[in-house]
Amino acid sequence: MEKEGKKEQEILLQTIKEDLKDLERYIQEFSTFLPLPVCMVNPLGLIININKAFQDLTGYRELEIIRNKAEDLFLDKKKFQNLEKKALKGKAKIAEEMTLLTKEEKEISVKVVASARKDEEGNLIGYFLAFFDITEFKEFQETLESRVKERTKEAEKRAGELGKSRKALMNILEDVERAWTEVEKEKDKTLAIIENFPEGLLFFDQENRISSLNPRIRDFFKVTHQQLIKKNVKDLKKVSSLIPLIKILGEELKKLYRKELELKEDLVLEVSTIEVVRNEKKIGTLVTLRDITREKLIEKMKTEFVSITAHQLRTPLSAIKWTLRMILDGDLGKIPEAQKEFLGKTYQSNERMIRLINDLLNVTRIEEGRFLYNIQKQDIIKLLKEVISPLKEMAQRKGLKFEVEFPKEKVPEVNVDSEKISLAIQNIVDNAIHYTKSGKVKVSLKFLKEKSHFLFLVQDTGIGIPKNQQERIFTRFFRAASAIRAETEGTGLGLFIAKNIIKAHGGKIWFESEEGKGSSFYFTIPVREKESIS
Amino acid sequence: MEATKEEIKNLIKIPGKVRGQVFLTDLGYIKEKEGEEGVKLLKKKMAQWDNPIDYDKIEAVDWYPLGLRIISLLAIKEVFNWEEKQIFDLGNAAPKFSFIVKMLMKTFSSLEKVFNESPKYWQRHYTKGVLENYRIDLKKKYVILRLKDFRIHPILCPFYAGYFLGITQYAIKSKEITIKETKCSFKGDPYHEYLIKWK
Repeated sequence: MEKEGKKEQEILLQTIKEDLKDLERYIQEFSTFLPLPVCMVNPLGLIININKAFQDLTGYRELEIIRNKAEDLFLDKKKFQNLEKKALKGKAKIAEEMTLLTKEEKEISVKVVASARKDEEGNLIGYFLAFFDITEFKEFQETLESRVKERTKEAEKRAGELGKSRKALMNILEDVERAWTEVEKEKDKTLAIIENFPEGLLFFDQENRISSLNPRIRDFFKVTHQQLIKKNVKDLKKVSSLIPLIKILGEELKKLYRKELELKEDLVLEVSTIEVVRNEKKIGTLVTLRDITREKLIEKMKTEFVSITAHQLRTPLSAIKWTLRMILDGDLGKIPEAQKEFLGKTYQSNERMIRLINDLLNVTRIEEGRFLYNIQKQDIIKLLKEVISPLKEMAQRKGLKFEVEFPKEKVPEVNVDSEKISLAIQNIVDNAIHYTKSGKVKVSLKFLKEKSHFLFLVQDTGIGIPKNQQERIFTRFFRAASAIRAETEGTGLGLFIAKNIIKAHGGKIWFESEEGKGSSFYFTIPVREKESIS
Repeated sequence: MEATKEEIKNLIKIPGKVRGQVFLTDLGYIKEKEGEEGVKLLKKKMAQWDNPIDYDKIEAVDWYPLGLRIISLLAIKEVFNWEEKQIFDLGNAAPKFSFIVKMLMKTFSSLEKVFNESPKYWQRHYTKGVLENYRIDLKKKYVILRLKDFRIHPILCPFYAGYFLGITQYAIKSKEITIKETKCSFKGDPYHEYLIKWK
């Protein structure tokens, strides 16, 4: 019995031994192959055991790390102490992210999980520490954070730039608004000016379509805004009241300067066109229409007055002329020399008055369009010879040399009003003789076949015309300062009348002059059919 | 002076048993300190002594003749020419490797518990000798341990000094802990006495 009991005990003991060995082996294997780094820490915070994974992670071997303080493994000691405190309070599975310091002094981001250890009686006997390497995760997180930071910075920068741009835009908008308000004001002002402008304004765009017009246009032509706006010249021909205007403008809106347009007896307009250019580019044509009815009326009244007065004056002047002639000729008896002299001067003055009145009458007739032309075919050389014959004598009496030059070849006849052409030639040659004290006067006539016109030249060595007055030489009543200084007689109407006559025949007149040296007057008479002369 | 085969045989006859863990501890330490080459040398030495210890077959929880404990230390001392200091260090490192120590760690939660449990702790390793916690004075910061009925071999004196210090170091968080053998059976004293002090 005793023997059996002993044997049984031995077997039990053997079994326990083997169980213990198996347990030890199992624990050893488990510890070796567990991939999770683990260490055991006693209540004093000293590492008492580690596994292989821990050795691999930290680089520390058992001999080096056991009995060392667990907190020495971590960068942030305080953080670890907090974790240890919680673990030693008996809390299970407290996790904290920390930085592990390896044997090689490398820093590894880890998640540390602490779990309290208790004995069978529930007494705290330390804690486990498990380590999760979160390096990659941390790196990823840091990269992500860095990217987010970068992007946030970029976004903030962009937002800042956007903010700046927005501010700038707002400023620009405000400026634009302000400018727009100004523009609107100016536009309103301009519109008000245009609307109230006393002249009619018609603006054609680049395609020759009416883009704007003012109320005066509507008044002149009795049309509505809709009838004209956006219409081109062809369309405007359909508006009867506009036909006269379109006729003078033409389809291409030709250049006009103060062209008179009589719409009706009590409405005369002066039409001008202006090319509107902006930045060296044509943007349209402005047509202005000025109501000159009143001016025309006044001019007409003036002309009528002059005409009537001249007519009224001519009769008594003619009577005075003949009376004086008779007295001077001795038809009424002999008179003393002194009286003859005085009466002679009176006669001359009277003659001047008559000439003036004749000139005035001619001018008024020209202005009234009553300077009638009796156009006939004439031998121009013969006509010229007749005109200059008395003038030649006058020149020679004055001691001037008088030269005449005619074409040698046969020349064609010309359709002219012989009386008027003679007057024109007379006025020009008369001026030449009048304003030449010494020297010569030359009259020449040429026929220019290729141009089919006659060219007249009247050249003198007289007082000449000052340069600053040459522009006005053909205007009414104008006498150059040199003529006035020379105390010569003249009405200032001769060249005005001559110019009108030559123009009426389709010719041109011009001159060259140098003060103190003389003048050369040129004019042309074209060889044309009778019907084409105005 | 090297031990002879005769001395080795005599050592094996010493009464008492020891846990296999002690040899595994020795092996682990040599591996750490001297590498695989050192282990080879140690095994070679054993072979010279007719392999009283086959380190590869040792089981941690099995019991082995107490004399083998001395033989293992003697072999290490002779192979690596260690002196007392190195044996002391081996003893001090032993708790780090010991499976049994790790099993008993729950008792290392406080100084009192460590030294109050020390007799039981000794019995887990040795069948001979008694380890006594003679005195603990936490105020004056010292402990006196006595190892009685254990006059086996002088080589064990420095080993245990290191070992007891190692155990104390689990229970006291001080960098300045010292141990001194104040009494020795081999010097005429009735027991071995160790004074552990700390600051």
